[in-house]
Amino acid sequence: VRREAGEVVDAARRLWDSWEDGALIADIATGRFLDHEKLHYVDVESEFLSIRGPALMPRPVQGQVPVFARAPDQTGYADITLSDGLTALDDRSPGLKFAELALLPGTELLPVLRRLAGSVGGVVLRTPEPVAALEELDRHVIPALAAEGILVPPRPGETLRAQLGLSRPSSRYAAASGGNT
Amino acid sequence: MSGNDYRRPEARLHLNGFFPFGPIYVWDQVARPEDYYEFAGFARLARTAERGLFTSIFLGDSQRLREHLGRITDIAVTGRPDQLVLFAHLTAITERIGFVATLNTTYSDPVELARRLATVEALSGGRAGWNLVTTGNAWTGENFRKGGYLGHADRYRHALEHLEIVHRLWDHREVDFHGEFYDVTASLPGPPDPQLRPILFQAGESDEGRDFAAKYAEVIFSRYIAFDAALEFADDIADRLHAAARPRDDIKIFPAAKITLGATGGPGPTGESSRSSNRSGVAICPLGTSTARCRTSPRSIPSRP
Repeated sequence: VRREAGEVVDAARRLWDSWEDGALIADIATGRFLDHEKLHYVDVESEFLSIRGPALMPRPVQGQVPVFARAPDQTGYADITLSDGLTALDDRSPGLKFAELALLPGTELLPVLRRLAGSVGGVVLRTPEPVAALEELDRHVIPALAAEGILVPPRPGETLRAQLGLSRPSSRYAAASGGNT
Repeated sequence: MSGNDYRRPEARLHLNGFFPFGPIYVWDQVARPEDYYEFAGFARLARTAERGLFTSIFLGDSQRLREHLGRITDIAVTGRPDQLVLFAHLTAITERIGFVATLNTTYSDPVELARRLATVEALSGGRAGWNLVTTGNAWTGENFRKGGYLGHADRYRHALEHLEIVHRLWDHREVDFHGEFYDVTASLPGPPDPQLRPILFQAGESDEGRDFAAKYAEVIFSRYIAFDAALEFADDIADRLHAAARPRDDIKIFPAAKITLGATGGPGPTGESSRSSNRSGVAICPLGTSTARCRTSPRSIPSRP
């Protein structure tokens, strides 16, 4: 299962790269809608997959859609790794780390979040009562975090990658073919 | 017999818009090439069709980019969005038009397809349809891990098992199926809702395709628009319905019509102005009389005065 998951993510990433940026040209003078030099067969032939490509849609706006996966098993191919609670502090995997916290009634969330803030990029909150928990967060926790500068408010119009502080990668095929516009 | 001799006071028409490639086909009509793939064009299309009293729209699909002589075709728009994701979004900005997704049985997983289509059905309050298609070519199969593996003779037997799994999931929320192609035990969340079952469209033209439609489809597309040929097709389907022990009104026949637009007083159908529309609009009307099985129709067609 783990090997297959890695292959699936790798194939998806190749497909996302298979239309280079700038593949859509709509050049009326030459009658070409696409620059076919910028479309690439992915030719995945792996243990579990066989995919010719290219993708059926142009490259994602973000270049690569951010992939979230659970540490430690699936960290090799993720942009963001999810760890249980404070074990996130010990996670040495590269990239952005998120801590998953169970939000039980009466949890003192603020001190935990303050402690995690220097080491992880974000938290995932799980709760059996999402509505009540959101109200509580909204009323007490978020204003405090914002005041301390720990919480990064989302900026309108930005991609998820940009919100998370991740850069937009260029297509692997652009590097291979030696150019991009 | 001419069309004027054929009068049926009870007859009702449904219009279904068919867009093989998307909202815009001629690609020099917009400023940004991304417009062909982004949501705004599809949203405009859906709203316009709804305003124009169309019962439904459906899009063509292809699971591989077009090629010519072994190279990706670069002179035309190619590729398209996932239809169910797109339709989930379009149902939120419309109220009564139906959305018919062209979905391939050959390369899809029936449990996943049943769940995704049921999701659009629930989100839209019962406005989803499925245009069931099969693919027999290995060229398309190269994009799927299973590879191209179905010969023509197997396509509809495989499609039948696929459809059976989907229908059992919709009707009972559970399936335990063991057939020639599938061994599946699965369930969908939530209680079954007989009012929420996507309408099945089919366009098979071969003998097997017509038989399949006569047995299982609720709407069949027909390429015949000339009256006598359309009637011949309808009679053939009626015979097959009879053989399948289904009443004649159980299926609606939607013949295809190409619509060519020209500016008022401008050039005719062969002129310059027809270029942008002569591939993109097809209105389709039924020869059937019953509207009972097209749930979206009563709200989308004004009642007679």
